[in-house]
Amino acid sequence: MHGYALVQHIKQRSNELLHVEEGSLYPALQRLLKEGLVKAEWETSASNRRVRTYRITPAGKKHLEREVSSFERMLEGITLVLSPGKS
Amino acid sequence: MRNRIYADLSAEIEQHLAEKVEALMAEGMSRNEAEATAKREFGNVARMKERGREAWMWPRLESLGADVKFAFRKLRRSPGFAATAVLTLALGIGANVVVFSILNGLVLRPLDVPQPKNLFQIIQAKELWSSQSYRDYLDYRDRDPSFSGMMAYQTERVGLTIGKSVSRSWGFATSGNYFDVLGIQPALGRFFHAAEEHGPGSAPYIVLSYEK
Repeated sequence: MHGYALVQHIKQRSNELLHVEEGSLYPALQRLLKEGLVKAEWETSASNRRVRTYRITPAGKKHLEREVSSFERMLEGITLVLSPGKS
Repeated sequence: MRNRIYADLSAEIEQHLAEKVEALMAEGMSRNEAEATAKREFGNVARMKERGREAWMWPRLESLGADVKFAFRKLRRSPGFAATAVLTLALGIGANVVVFSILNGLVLRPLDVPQPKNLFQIIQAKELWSSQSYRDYLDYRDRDPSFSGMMAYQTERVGLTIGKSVSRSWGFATSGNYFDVLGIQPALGRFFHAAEEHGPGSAPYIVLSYEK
């Protein structure tokens, strides 16, 4: 997926709840590239555009799994703290 | 290598904007409108490129150096602003030093007793600041096998007369073994002991403290 498509994807999948500044995607992608978590190649898209396409690497997948599980734990913690106490 | 990365980044951002403009125009916007909207929703293009490049810089030193140089140039050009900034920092740091030194004295200073880590406060579960009745204290003290001693105290407001001046102060009414359990010695005179306690309400001794 290339940058523009990623932004559209995030908007649609989150029911437009996540409204990030589109541009901030690119610094983030650069950091992922540097860490070797994604790789990028210039390709021709379905709509016949020269676009830079990003793919997740095996290392990226592993990292994603770790991040997701730690995010879920944090969310669980927050939910517990915010839920009404029983005492 | 670097230049290639930066060029790719610029190219893909231009491409992003172009694709966005096309999409907006397909929805019926004019080119001008579409370009303005695309830029607005993208954010600051130059800033995004800079942040993208920063990802590759050797631990941010390049950008730090540039920032420092830039900051000095700016400060030299506007001494009024520089003075305000320095003053603000001075006041901020000063205020924090004051707060810290108070906190340090009250909270962080270790207790001045021989074994501060072996000192525990007994509270009732669920109520952090609850206190115990004197009778409960007697039961705990007599039946507890875990501690080498157990003392009780209660804070009291007391009147203090020195010469002709009268002031209000804080005092503690304590059990007779108070100082022996803490394991401390007086600077002057002697402390009272458990054997000198004659039940509740008897207050024949007084110990004065002083601030170092």
